[in-house]
Amino acid sequence: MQKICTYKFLIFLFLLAWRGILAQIDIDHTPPAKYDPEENITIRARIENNLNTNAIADIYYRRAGDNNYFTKAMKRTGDHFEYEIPAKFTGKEGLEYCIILTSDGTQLISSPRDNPLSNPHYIIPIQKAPETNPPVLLAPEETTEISPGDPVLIAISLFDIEQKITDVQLFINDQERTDKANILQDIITLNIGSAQSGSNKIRLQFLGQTEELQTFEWDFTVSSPTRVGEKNLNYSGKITTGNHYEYINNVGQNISRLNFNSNGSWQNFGYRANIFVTSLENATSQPRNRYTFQLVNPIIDLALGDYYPNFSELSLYGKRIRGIQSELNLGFFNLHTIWGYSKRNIRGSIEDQPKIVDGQNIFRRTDYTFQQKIVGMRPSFRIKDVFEFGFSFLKVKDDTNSVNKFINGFDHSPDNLINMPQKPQENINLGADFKLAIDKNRAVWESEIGFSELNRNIYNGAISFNDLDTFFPNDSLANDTITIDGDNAIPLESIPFDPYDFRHIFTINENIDPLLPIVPDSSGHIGFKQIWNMPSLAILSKAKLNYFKNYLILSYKKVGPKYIALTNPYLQRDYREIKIKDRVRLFRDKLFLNMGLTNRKNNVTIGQEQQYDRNTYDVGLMVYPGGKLPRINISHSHNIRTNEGSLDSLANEQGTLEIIDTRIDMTSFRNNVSISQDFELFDLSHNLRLNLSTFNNKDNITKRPTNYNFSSYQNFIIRAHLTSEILQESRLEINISNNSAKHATSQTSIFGCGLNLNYLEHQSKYSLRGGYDFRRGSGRYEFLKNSLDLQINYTILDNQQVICSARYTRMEDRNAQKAYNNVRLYISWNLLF
Amino acid sequence: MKNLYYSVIVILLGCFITQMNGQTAKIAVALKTQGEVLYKHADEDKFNKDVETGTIFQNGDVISTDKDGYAVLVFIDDKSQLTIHENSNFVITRQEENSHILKRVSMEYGKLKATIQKQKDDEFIISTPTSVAAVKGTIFWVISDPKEGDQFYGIEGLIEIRNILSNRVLTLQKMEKSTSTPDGGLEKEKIEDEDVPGTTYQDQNGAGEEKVLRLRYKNKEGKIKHLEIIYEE
Repeated sequence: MQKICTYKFLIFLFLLAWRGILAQIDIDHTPPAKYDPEENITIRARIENNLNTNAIADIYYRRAGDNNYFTKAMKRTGDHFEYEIPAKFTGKEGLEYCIILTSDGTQLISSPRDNPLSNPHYIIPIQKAPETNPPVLLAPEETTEISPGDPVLIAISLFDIEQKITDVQLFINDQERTDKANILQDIITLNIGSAQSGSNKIRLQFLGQTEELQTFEWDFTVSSPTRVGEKNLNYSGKITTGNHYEYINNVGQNISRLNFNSNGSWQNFGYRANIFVTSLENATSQPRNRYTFQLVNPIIDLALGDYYPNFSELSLYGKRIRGIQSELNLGFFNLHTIWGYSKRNIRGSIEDQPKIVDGQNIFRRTDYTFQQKIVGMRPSFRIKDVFEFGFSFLKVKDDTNSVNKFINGFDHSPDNLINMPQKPQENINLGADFKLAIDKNRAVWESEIGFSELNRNIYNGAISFNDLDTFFPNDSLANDTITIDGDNAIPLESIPFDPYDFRHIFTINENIDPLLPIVPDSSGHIGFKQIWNMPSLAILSKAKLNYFKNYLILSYKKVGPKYIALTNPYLQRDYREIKIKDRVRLFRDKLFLNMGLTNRKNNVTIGQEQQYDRNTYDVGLMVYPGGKLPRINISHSHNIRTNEGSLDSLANEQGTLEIIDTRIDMTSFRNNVSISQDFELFDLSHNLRLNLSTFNNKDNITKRPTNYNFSSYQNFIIRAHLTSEILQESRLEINISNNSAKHATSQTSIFGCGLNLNYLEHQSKYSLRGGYDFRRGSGRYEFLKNSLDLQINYTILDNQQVICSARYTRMEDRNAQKAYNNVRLYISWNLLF
Repeated sequence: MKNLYYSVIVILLGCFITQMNGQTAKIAVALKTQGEVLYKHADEDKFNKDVETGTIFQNGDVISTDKDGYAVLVFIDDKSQLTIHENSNFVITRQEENSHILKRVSMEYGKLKATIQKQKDDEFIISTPTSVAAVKGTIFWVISDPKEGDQFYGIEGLIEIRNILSNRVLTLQKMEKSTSTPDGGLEKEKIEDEDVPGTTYQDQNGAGEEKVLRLRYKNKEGKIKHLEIIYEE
């Protein structure tokens, strides 16, 4: 392509002066009326009157409004010349052009004849109606049938129609209903009440921007009246069986399992059944098989077999029980009861080699467990979802007869004593809880209080009234009093009950813990303070407020040192904790701010040296702007741990003074930054996540004795993770990470990278997953690990699926100078019914 | 300096007008309602309007269902649907930025089923006090409780879920359940058909719930076929 050529222009001016001479030659050319800006336009001309064979016709063209012309030689065929102007040079503003003929550099004629470059031909573009999408029927859906008599809503979206439309008309079965319709810029709705059975037609018509009438039609169907079907038994379920084989560090293991799940309903009842059987089930450990049958209706929920009841956070909270559970839901009054076993008895073993004390052989029993029975109830009163108040009673008791003391041929013999280090226990928990939820759960206040009593050894059963006289150590039989440490003598007459009478509720003997549930003050008075500080008391109170885009949680928790719930073994004791957390949502949920403050005092009742405070401050910022912008998360946690410890001197066994430092003043920081970005590359969608996290702790006390060891720890982790959607539902994931940890005396670095491919095809019978993972450890732990993964899921006969997976790992432990070839294989089959 | 003032005023006015325009844009329509379902515009204090079949929602509207409330909403730009169940409260918004459409459901609490059409370059976000879910065309359930956290059930497609407190992220796939808790926990597990809300006995018998009738039959070739009918009483 050439721009205007100055020399041709000069030739043209020169030849123009000779116009009169060349008047006998003419150009026959009629400019086209319009052109399509999206298509090439062909310009044709015919030369009349004895044309010289050397004649050349040039076309000059430009978009209307441009200063410069493009020029091109027109193609000649006999007397005809033509040139196709590419669409990309025509534009929507209009096209200007002229044709200039030269012959041997001397002859000239043009079209238009006069002043063609200043006064060119002008042709206008065809004005097309803007490209637009059709309106979309939102309701009723064309594929669904409407029940007879049901009201019908017609809703049509005009959202994608970019042109301006006028004269909208809506017809239902050829009857115009425009006046009843609600016609807005983006949507048209019309409630037509019930429609006639069979096929119905919707027709929408309007005038578009080019005044053309546009018509769209849809059909919908109203079904014929049908008989209401009776309620039948509905059920569905799944059976899964699988085998897992692994060979890890030269040790092989084979695990088989069978799982049956089914649920369904009949009339007003529903049921759920689950059977899980595994080859790991063994009489020497707690049950791994699970059997559950649950029957549900709006009033009662019955469970038989293995279930996981919840009473409250302080007492029973998800412990597995095998037995019976019932939940009666009457609305205002509700009753939750449980009965069963939380542990089964395990016979255990006896040590071969006795310990000889005073000529007696003492054999120690090991690995045994008493059968643990549990019974509990929680009546509660509820006013809708606003208020609930409940009490709970829970009793857990080991069955002393469930483990035989004498096994492997041992019997009652004065020379052989059997030591049972683990004693049968009994535990009761009494609790009360309430919940107040107002303003549709925006403000919730929950509190609960629990009291426990534990008997650490019930082998000898409950004591009687008379036994109380010698209940405490050093108490004599002589005075008919309960004497504690030779002081605080309580006359037996003042005890209003015989502990033996209560043996069915709780076994009272010298092993109960705490011995005194409540400790009076020095004057014997029991007030609020004494109740509040009961060692076996636990209190929890939480308030949650969800207002003004803030979600505020305030909580207080105090657990006494003697508060023990055998059904909740992971509950920590002897601490007091106050928590304040707030989560703020800003800018239409594009920015989230988290703040938290936790103050925790541990070992509240165990001497000052072991007490310590822990204050945690958390702050986090999450930016989620939407669109193609990255998502950013920043969080910081600051933890301070202090105590009232001191620097003391203590003489050791050799008589030399040793300095003991019990002071704690430690600060730790945890920071995390992550960025996630979606992007398109090579016509594929990708997501890149980068994550950086650090942890550091330091001792704030600089001058420590030389024998003081502070376990400093620093950690730095960096990760990158790329996910690419390679097909509709298939993904390729690539990750790379490095984890550096520095301890007081050593340093470890682990580098890893991996690649995973998940191949899924929509409605396909199979899916594939494969991956490779590499890890290399250096420093304290030196190893090299390469893993290969493969999983295939294949669907058979629509309702059956086979899953096969394999993992091979080559582990080289360079510290131990050993290498392992580890294999995991898994195959399962499942059937849906 | 004077020009600067004018520029600031023009920008603020522009923002205000844009905001007003954004607020009044019609974004969804109610296809079905049952029980007590109320709504209010963003600038109103109280829920003073009943949602009825055909109610058109504008940008920023807040929708609330009572214990027996149930509604089906469809977004007018792409036919994405929300089936809202009892005791729910959320805001729906739509923003158009650089020719992309960002739809957002800001849930305070409740239970809904979302059938989201493929979003191409657009984005659909469901946020709760605990989590944020970015959706690119999928079907899933979300049950949100500010106290207990969120449960997401994937039925089709993929959902990226982020726990706001811990910033942990996971991608939920078909027949998986994710639990996101207020203390920062985020986990997922495989689920079976019967675990999905709306297919269990309790859900089927809840007010305004969809019920599912599954039929199994043999066709002429002897193959076992399943027919699933979803209906309401």
